[in-house]
Amino acid sequence: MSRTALIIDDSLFMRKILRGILEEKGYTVIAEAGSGIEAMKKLYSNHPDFIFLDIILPDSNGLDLLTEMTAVCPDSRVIVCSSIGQPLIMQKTLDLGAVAFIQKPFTPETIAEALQKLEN
Amino acid sequence: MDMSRYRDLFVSESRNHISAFGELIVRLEDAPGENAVIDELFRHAHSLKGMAATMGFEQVVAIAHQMEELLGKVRSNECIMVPTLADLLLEGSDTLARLTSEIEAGERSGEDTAELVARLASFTPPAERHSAYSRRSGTEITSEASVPAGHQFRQSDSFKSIRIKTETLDHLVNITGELITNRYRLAEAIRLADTAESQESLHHLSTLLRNLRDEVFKARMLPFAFIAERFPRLVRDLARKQGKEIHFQLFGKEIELDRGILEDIAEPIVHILRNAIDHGMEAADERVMAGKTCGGTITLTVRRDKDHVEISIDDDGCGMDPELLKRKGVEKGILSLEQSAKMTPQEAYQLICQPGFSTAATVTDISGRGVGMDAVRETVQMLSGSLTILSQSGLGSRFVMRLPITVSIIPALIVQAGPIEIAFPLNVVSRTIELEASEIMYESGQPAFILGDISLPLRSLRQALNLPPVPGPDSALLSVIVCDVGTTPAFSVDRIVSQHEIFVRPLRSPLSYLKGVSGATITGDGRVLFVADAGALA
Repeated sequence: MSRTALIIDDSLFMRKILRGILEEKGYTVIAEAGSGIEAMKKLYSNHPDFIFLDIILPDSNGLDLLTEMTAVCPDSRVIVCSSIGQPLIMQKTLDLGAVAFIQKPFTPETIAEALQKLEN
Repeated sequence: MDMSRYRDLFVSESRNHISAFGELIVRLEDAPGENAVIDELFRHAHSLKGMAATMGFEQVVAIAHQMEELLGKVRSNECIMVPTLADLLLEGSDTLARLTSEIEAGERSGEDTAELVARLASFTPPAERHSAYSRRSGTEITSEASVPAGHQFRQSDSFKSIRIKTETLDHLVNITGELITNRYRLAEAIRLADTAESQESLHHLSTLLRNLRDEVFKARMLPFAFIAERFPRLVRDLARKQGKEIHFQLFGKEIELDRGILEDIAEPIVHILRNAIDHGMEAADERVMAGKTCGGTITLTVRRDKDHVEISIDDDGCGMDPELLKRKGVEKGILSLEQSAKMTPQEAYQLICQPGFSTAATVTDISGRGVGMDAVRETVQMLSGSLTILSQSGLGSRFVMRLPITVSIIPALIVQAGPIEIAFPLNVVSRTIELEASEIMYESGQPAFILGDISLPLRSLRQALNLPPVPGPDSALLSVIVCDVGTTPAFSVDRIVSQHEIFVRPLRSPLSYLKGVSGATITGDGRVLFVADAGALA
């Protein structure tokens, strides 16, 4: 059975690109969310294997959301995707339970590489 | 991975960012120190940069990056937001808009953006702080952008909405209109056949058609915000150019109107705003001398009133002097001294809608010389709306455009003049009355009558349509339809036939050149009726 993913990004464009990359790699994107509130709703009804989370969202602090998500769905692995490249923020997301940090803008290769590492 | 399939999505989302960016810059100038606005500006530049980088649009990345850097400096108080910085950021967002259009069209103009990038990168704010508006000091700087409530430009995640071509919506309106016309024909056939069992089906069909019409119209409705984003920027740029300080307010941008009306009404609004800035608003020193605040205010308000929408533009500028307008009108040969003496202030304000009329002391490149108010009135009338002008000398002016929310399927009054039946859109008819021949008086040889306490000019519809007058003696009672009091005369007609819902079709050349008609419709019995343009018939 293919692995499932939830994509959280306020940009529809970014969500579609990520969906395209993931589906090409054989993942099933079970839901997308454009805001923190929507993301939590989707998370309660789906238990994805991977969560791709953009930490800049219009309605939520991404770091708080990350904490909440890892508490609600400890089995889902959260991959933070952000264009914020400050090492402090990157480390903070990993401390809060994210399994990887992908710097935006990403390429299909960066995503594949990160997933490969996690699958291994 | 083929990225070209994401191009349309990139273009539409980029446009959202760019237009929100422009709007926020203007808002920030108006309300300096709004931290949330700076944060949001930063977020738009940042998101755009990320998207462009993913697609490989390097020029967009370079500009957005420098804009983001500058906003970062404003956010951390390293740099103050001065008008020259706002100009530069707006120039950046204009260039981004052009690049986005090129991306959409799939062409490259080869515009050199390196010079702009360099200017953005090397921008240093002027030393003096008195004219600057700085970010409130002592605030916490956060890495996450926060968004003020009720101000979201982001698209929501949903399969509940889809994009469809506007021409598909136009087709739907056409088909619905034809269905309504055919329903009248069917009703007529059923009435003649006198088949009672068909009545129920017809009744059911009518209900379904009304529902269909309502849904199709709903699909065509767009919020006023669709055209409003450009106005704050327009006011800001023109005010800067004129060296005037103007605060712009916009209310009711969530009110919805038919897409076609919105498209047509944008230019008239721009024109009225230009006039308000150029002619209406005084320079700061003149305002202070008149005991006003040195900055003026222009307010654009959109309000829904049943089947109509009222768009009003108010300014607290110098207003208009009716006596001055009348004198100009006489000088220009637009009216006689006698007419001018009888003219009410309300009528005098309408003079500015006469072609070639202007009282501006100097010609400027903003609104020229009285060019355009006639076009404004024409557009409003073409949309079956009305334009009211109110003013108080020294205190300001108000322009109110009252428009139907949809134009293509409308209630109309069918009237007859000689052999011709013609439809008057119901929203231009304020009332119908019966008039005795003895009530008609003649002012300068022109027929008129008293309605309430106003003298209204009376025009024969036969005469307006170049038809011969009624043969024989005048009938004792005349049916009269009264349109917009103050702007259009009342029309005497042979007979008021009926009131109907009609589907208005535009006229094509050469019929579109006919004066006094704005469209045509087909009746239930298959005849073609013209739709009257009351303003032009006058």
